[in-house]
Amino acid sequence: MSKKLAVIQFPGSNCEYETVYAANQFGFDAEIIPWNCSEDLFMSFDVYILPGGFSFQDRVRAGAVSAKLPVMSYLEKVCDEGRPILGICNGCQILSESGLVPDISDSHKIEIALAPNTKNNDSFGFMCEWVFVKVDNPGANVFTRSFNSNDVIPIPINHGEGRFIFSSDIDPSTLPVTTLKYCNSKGEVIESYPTNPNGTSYNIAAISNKKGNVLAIMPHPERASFLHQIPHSIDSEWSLKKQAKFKSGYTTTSGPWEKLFTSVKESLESCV
Amino acid sequence: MRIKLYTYLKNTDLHAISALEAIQHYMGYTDVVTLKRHLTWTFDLDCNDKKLSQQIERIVSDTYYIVNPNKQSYYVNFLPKPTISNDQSCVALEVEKDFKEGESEISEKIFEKTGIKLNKLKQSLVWEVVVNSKNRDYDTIKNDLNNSITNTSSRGQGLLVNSFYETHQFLDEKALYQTL
Repeated sequence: MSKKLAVIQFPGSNCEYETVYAANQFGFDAEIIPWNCSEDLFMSFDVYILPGGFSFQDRVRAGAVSAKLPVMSYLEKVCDEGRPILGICNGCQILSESGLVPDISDSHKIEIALAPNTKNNDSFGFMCEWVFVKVDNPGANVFTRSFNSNDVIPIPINHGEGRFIFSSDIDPSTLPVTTLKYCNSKGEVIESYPTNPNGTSYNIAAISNKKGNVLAIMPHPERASFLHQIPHSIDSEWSLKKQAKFKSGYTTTSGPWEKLFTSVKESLESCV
Repeated sequence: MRIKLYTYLKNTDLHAISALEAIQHYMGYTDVVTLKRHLTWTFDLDCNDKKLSQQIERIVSDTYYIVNPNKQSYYVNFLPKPTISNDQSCVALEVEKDFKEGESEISEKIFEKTGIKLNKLKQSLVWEVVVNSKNRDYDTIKNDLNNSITNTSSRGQGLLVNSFYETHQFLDEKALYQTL
C-alpha cells in the first residue's frame, strides 16, 4: 500500500500541484491539504512537504508569518515523532523560521536564517537559474540516502531570499547534518559567484535536521524530477541523456531528483 | 542636512496587517493594539530649509525610486503622533539590514534624472507599535517588546527582526514626533 504524503498548501503556495504530481508518479499517495486543516486530518499522513511559493506574500520576511500558524505546531509534533518532512524553497524558509532545521539544540530554537540574496554584500534580487548541487553526508537523511556524495545534480533555483546564515554559536562546517552545496558542473564547490549564486554561507543550498527526518532545500527538486524538465543548455550528463532519449521519441522518464522521493519511500518501507 | 523620509502605503498595508494578525492571534501577544509600517529613507541633502519640500517633491514626482506616489505618501523628518488613549503607549522600532540594498544605484539614478544628489542614502523599516501600557513605564514596554515581538528566536517568540542579518533600535519619541 502506498504511503500517504501531504503537501501543505499555505496562502500563496504555488508549487503544490507539481509537487503532488511528482510524488504520485514516484509511488506515493499524495494530496494537497490546506494550512487550516484539522489536526486529525493533518496527523493522518506519513510524509509532509511544504511546497514552494510566496506564502502570505513573503510579508515581513519569507516564511515568517507562516511559521507562526497553528499548523506548524502539528508539524512540530510529527517532526518529533520522526516522520519525514521536506521544505522546498518557501517551505525551506518556513522550516528555518520555525527552528525545525538544523535543530542542533533539540529545542526548535531558530539557528539559521534565509537572508535576501546578495553579491559582494549588495542586494542581488530574485534569482531564476539552473545550478548544480552535491550532497554532503547523504546517508544521514531520509530524503538523500539514495544519492552518492559524488553526484553532480542539476536543479533550478527561484528565490529572492535563499542565503543561509548561521547562528554565531554554530560552525556549519562541523554540523552533524546532511547538506546540499552549490557546485559547478564539474562538482567543484567554489565560494564565489556564479557557482555560489546568492552569497550563501559555505555554498549551502539545503540543510537537514540533526535527527535526519527533515530536509529544507532552497532549489526545486520537483522541477527536476523528470527528464523532460532538464534543459538542453546545461553542461550535464542529464541533458545528454534527455537529448538521446528524445531522439527516439518523446517519453516521460525519471530525472535526477527521482531519488529524493525513492529515498524516503524506501526508508519508510524498510521501517515496516 | 540629514533627512528622514518616512513613506507609507496610502491604502491597506497587508504586511502590517499580517504581522499584527500573527502577533495577536498566533503568538498571543494581545497587548499589541496596532502596527504601522514605514519604509524609511535616510540621506544627506545639500539644500536649505526653504527649498527642502520643493526638492523632495521633485525627487518623488520625477523619479518614483524612493516613493511611488500612485500608492505611497510620505512624511519628512517627523511622524504625526498617533491618537492613543491614556492607557496606551506608542513605540517606534527601526530595523536595518546588515547589507546594502542597492542604495548607491538608486542615488545615482535619482541624480541622473533630477541633478539632486542624495548622499549616504540608507533604507530602513520603521514599525510604529501601539501597546496597552498596563502601568508599565516606557523602558519596561520597550524591554517587553524586545522579548516578545522583535528578536525572532523561536516560532513563538519574535517576528519583526531577524537578528541574523538585521539590527534594530527603538527611536526616541521626542525626535520622532514633532508635536511633543
